[in-house]
Amino acid sequence: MTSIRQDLKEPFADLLLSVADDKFILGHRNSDWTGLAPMLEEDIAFSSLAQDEIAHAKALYELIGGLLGRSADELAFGRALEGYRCATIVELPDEFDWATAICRQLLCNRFDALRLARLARSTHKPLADLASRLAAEQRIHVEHADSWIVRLGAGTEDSRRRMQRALDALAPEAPMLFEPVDGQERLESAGLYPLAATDMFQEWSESIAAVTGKAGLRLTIQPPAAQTNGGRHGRHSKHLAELLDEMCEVYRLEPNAAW
Amino acid sequence: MSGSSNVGMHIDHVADEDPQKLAEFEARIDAGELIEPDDWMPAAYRKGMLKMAEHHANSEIIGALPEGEWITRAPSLRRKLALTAKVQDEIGHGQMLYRISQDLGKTRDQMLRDLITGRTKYHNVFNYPAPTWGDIAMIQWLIDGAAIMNQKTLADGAFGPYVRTMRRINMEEAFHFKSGEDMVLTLMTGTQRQREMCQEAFDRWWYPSIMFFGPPDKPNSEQLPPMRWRMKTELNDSLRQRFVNRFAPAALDLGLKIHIVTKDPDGIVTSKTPDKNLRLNEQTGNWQFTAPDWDEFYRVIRGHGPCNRKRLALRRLSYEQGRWVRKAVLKGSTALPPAA
Amino acid sequence: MSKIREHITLVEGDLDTPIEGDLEPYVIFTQLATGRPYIYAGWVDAIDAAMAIQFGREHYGQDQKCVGLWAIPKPAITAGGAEMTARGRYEVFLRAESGEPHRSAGCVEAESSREALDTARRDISGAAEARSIWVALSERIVATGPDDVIWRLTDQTYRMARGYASEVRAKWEEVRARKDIEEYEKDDLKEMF
Repeated sequence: MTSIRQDLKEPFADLLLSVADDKFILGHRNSDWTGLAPMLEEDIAFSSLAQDEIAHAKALYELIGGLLGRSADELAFGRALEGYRCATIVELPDEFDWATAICRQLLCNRFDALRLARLARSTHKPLADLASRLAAEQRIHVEHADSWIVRLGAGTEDSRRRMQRALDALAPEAPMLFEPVDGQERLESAGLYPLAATDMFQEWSESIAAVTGKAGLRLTIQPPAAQTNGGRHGRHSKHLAELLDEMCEVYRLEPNAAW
Repeated sequence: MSGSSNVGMHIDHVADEDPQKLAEFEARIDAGELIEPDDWMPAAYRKGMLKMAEHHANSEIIGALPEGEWITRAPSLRRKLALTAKVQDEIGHGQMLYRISQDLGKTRDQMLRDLITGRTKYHNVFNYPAPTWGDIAMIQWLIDGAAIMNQKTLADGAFGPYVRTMRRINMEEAFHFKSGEDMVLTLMTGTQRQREMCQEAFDRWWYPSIMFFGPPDKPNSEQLPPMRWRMKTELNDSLRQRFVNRFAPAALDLGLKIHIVTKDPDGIVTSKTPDKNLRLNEQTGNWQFTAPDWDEFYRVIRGHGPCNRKRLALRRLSYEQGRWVRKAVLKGSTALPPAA
Repeated sequence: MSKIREHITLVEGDLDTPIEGDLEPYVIFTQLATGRPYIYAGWVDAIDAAMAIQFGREHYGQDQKCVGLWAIPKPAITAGGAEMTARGRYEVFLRAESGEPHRSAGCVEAESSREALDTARRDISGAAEARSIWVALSERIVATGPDDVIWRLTDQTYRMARGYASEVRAKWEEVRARKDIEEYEKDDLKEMF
């Protein structure tokens, strides 16, 4: 494996954890819809996408595990709350509301697509290879969210209202996806997480606005504050604590056992 | 996971059928030919296949719920992925099976409504609780094992769309069963606590899995339409014996003990004693066992099982929660008006 | 949703909403490798072809590795029942043996679906002997693009039986070896005492 400079190891692990944790927690939330989605065919489709997120997270945890000398399952299930690097938006429960689930997909998937495109150009070859594979699958997720946003935004008066409400609730949380991990600038200048040619926040918010515009939905989105202390620094909502209690319930019975 | 062998069929309306067409139809069945939807078939056959596929589909859709509860708690990345995929498969099976009945004349919307309002039934086995991770292992090993045995015989049936769907489903069931076997093996080669969890789950699921194949056969079952028309191809009791012959020795090899149990109304075991009748009959090659409590079986079928209400409530909630979504996409569509 | 799952009460009785009916049925075909025939996979109910392709990809596209997918609205396919009078190119699908799925076998130009079936029987290899023939208007077929990812690139063995085979075998050996040791010890005890 390509070696990482000693002083970059920690920020690099943090960065990869932020990618993996976003995917894992989002996949966890979305997998809970399996068996309960609004249409049988969509149930199958949405579950495939949830599996992708968890499978992506697993591949990333394996990569990080190789750097840190820990197993993927230990990283996924064996960390304390402060050890997670996900953004708040993936932590929120969707309360069995399809509008919330779909609006979150729009915001997170388009962010992830841009992030993976950057990672696919990383100087760390194993990461670049993995990220380009994941980016190819990520396109399916982006298309899926886009089509549902447009269909439901332009559906009935009721569906438009529900989608607007969900979007209004999630939009303020979304910019924190951009919160940098500690030492991110150093990773950028070292080429481990190369900057995109254009401003990533601008590209993201414009691409989302194009979709919501097509769907007849209003979107107000602000850039993240200059100084933040959120999920990328291990500060999480109460929802993540509850989520972990449930998710790790069986694992914690025998953390050293094979399951 | 599914099973349709205890679908109630009372088909005795062949009196109105053209005797010559009926004779040709039965000759095709006897010759092992497949009946396709465009072919002539007795009205009772059409109705029976519609109901059979609908019941099977209902079972898949409800069968997704007990395991679905555990997706959020699966204890490793691989198990979480596998369980999600497995529950997803159940929905896929339900979707394919509903399609058979849709083509025979009933809308899916109507079938889902009949399911959640209790007008139609689903397989009894899903009315039992899954209180621990061990239950997830047992459901995938025992119940999916039973389902494969049953569905392999259904794949030898005579109705083309159903046979093709069974073949496809059985390929996926092989994954479910192997993953279940792997989970049971992992628990039984694991820690003391894991082995206990596995034994307790086995105690909960052994008898439901024996009852999975439906009640004892009537004496003239082979002459009744379901078997005469190869809607099903093997007797319940014969499937049951094959299941016990396969799984009783495997359970003993694993170090599991086979118990007769009593349960409280929530399906939790309150007492257990070893099944003293359990042994291999050297002469017949069959494993003998204590017969299940068929009163319990009928009690659960009548809606008094531990989880009947819970399963329907969740499915109904899902139907209601999704209504606005279906309404929004249906708007402006050219969807056909519902069939009568 | 676990909290919701645990705390719902069953609403009994009928639904006070009208039956909405179903979406449009589409038939899905999958292609396992470039240049190979498209094989009948199953159905989806969808609002339009774009949705049908999306649903088909996540359902039948994940059964096994596949590179292409077709979605055809049911009314655009006929086996000879209702006739389509549209002139154009028709794709021909054959069921060679009883119980087999239909496979694409080429196309014919025709004035109507009836003519397409007749032409197919004459010109398409295997059609005359086929158990069943379907024809579908080519312009109604919606396909995935050559660059579309259908089958996933990440490890999919977690949802295949073969993903568990070697571990299961190894664990059974472990279990049975343990049992052999116990029996050996029992025998041993018998001999000793």
